[in-house]
Amino acid sequence: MKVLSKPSKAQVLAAMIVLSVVTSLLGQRAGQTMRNLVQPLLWLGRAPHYLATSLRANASAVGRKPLSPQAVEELAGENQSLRGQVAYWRGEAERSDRQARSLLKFQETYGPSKDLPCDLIPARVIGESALPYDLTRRVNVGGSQNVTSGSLVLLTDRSKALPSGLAAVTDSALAGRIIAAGAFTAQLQVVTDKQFDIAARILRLVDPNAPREVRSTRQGSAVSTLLTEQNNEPLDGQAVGNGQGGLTIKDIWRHANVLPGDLVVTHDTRFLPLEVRIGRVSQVQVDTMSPDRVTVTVRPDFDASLATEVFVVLPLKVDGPSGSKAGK
Amino acid sequence: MRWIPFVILVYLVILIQTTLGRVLTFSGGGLGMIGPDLAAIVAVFIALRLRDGTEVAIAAWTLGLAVDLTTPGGVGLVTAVGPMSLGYCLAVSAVYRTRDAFFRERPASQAMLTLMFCLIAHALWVSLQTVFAQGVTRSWGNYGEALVQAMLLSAYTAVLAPLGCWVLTRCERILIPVQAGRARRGRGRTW
Repeated sequence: MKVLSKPSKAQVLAAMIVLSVVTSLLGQRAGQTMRNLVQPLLWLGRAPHYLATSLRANASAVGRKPLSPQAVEELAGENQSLRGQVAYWRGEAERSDRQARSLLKFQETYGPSKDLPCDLIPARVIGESALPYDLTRRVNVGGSQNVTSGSLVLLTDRSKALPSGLAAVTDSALAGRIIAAGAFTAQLQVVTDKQFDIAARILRLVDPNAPREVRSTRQGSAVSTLLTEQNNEPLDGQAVGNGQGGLTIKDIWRHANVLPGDLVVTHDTRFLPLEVRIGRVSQVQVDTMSPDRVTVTVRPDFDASLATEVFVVLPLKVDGPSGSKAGK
Repeated sequence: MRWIPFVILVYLVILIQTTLGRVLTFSGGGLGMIGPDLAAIVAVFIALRLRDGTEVAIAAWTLGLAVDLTTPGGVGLVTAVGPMSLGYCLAVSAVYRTRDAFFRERPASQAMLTLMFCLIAHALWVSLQTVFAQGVTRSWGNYGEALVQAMLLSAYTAVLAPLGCWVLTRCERILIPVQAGRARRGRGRTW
């Protein structure tokens, strides 16, 4: 007696539809598990991804308006002045480097050894979401618009899933946070995503050529002083991705006089054991509801449209629901 | 339907969509990002060429699943797998039923049917994902925005559909064997 017969096409289709309904009802967690299984297949897509990265980088230069002769002249003058400043600051930097080297030598000789309590796991960007529902917009000052993704797929060298919530950095800036991970792959939520947030710290720059007046409260009365290295307290806030290629930090004291160009770094020791640069302040707007507060817009240093490699920061002691340290 | 070449085609389409796809993506101002759904073009092409409706639905389900598996973000923080394969099945059945009313070789027909396909599939996907995201993220606030984005995405995909169908016609013989009741060079049923 024939027990198992070949299923008909209609039966196969019915089974597929039932499977879709079941996986839909199982929700996001089951969906992510399935994605983790198939995402390594995108590994072959590295070549087109890098090709797309290269094309986009070159395409941003196309279509810009040519500069007028007057603008060219102004820029040449400005460049000349900047060259002079560069030479001056280079000299200053060399002097500082010499001092730092001598201090480092002293510290290495007599100080206690100190290392960052974390592993850096290299991860390659192998793709992004198939549909653009989580993409965000990045507007360049030059007028061209680049597309940056809200999430990227990473290929790691870890066969066990990394805990979610880990930070990912480039060699110079914060890239985002791992929101889901599986064997050899992980999902990176980039810093500009609307649902990304992190404790941040604004470091105001002290420029002797452009003194900055700040107001502080002493013994109950407001006092205006010039910002110096001595009274330059960092300003803490919560940086949230704005979905438009930047981050915003609300509720910053207006009289702290934050200006475009100030540095923004991370300030979350659970998330990252060290301060990592997020970006620079690009805009400061007075809060309409509370005029003594400002909202700061941050332009991140991380560019998702050009990213090819990031490092996942794995603290050596990971606390939380995800369990212990992920193994190799 | 030749399933092995079809699976390879699905893989290639998804690979292109997840990598080179962003070259074709642009900003729609305040309406979000607009990019093409290349898998939808393949589904519409198959719905126009294949005679067996069940095979068309199976192919669409496979394409929908592939899109689902490579679209982790969206309405919720992490989206569920399954709604897009259901959406593709539903949309392809609508295209399959209405295809007789169109001249399938005409670019305008291909664009129109792709628009219909994408509107059904993406509206269903956005709606289901919004429902599933409840309790995880506050997503109803973005529902209208995502629907408008889906409409623009559908229109954009429809514009690209004739070009996609032209490319797929070049490899039609690899995907679809000569079907009974078809003329030697015919593409479509002979009535």
